[in-house]
Amino acid sequence: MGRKIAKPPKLNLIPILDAIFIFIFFLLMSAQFLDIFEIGSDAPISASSETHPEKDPLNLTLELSGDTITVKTGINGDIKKKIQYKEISQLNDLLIDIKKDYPKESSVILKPNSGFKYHKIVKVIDHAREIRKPGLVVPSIDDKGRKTASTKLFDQIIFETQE
Amino acid sequence: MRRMFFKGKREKKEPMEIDITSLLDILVILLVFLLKSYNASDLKLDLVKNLSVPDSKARKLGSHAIIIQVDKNSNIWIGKDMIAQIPTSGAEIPKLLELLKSKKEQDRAPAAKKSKSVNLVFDKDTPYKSLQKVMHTSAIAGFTEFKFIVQGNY
Repeated sequence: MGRKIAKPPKLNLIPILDAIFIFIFFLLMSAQFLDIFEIGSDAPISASSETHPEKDPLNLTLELSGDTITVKTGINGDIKKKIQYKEISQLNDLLIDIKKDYPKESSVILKPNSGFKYHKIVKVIDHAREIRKPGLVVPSIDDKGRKTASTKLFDQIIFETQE
Repeated sequence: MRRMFFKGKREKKEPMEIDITSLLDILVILLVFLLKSYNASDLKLDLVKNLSVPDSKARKLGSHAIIIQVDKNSNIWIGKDMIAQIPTSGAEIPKLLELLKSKKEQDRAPAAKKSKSVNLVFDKDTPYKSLQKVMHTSAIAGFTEFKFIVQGNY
């Protein structure tokens, strides 16, 4: 009758609490609440080459002015298509087709006019760098000349100025 | 006698125990939240006022380099200092050029290993002519690898 019920042993949580506190301070100090990423672009360098490529260079150029994106290819800058900025997804589709014909090419020249807004340029870059449709890949050739399948389109961005 | 009687009978008081279960719950939630927002990048960015970074699908983490910020009013900032305003005429920005050149000289690494990267943070409504002037000035100063800083858009 008088027997006491044995209390369950209590866990000593103090060391784990200490560890969690230290961890939280470390994470708070290193936390960045804005997810920031980078888009790389190199300044153009002029170079002369004596080698003759097997195929005509693609020389893919996107002229950005007002609400229009003009896609040009070739040395003479032949107009491939004009796309309205509102229908920018068409740009991605067109670049997928071009990439299939030129798997070695990875650079695109951007020629925005002086008033073209930065956020629009970033959006164009997004559509030029990667395939936006999930699950779709294109043939690509890596630095070592191996054939691969990739979601990358033209990820080397070069800026040029409109005259 | 009476006093002694009570002294013998009195039970020892157990130390008061604080229930820390709820505190632990909060800490675990906080820990998960902080772990999710943890960024392995060594780029630490303090945005200046009047600057909103454009959204992008880019996924490459930024790296440490000189940070040039250009706000909505075309003011140029390096770190926490406003150094100049983008001029309406001319292809380059003299004050920025001077500062970047001095930063390049301060870099004690051997010439071939000197950093060529510059992080460019522009307000999303900045016109291309301003971008062009900053890029041109940076390239003249020897910073030819531009890293445009954007905000992740999932």
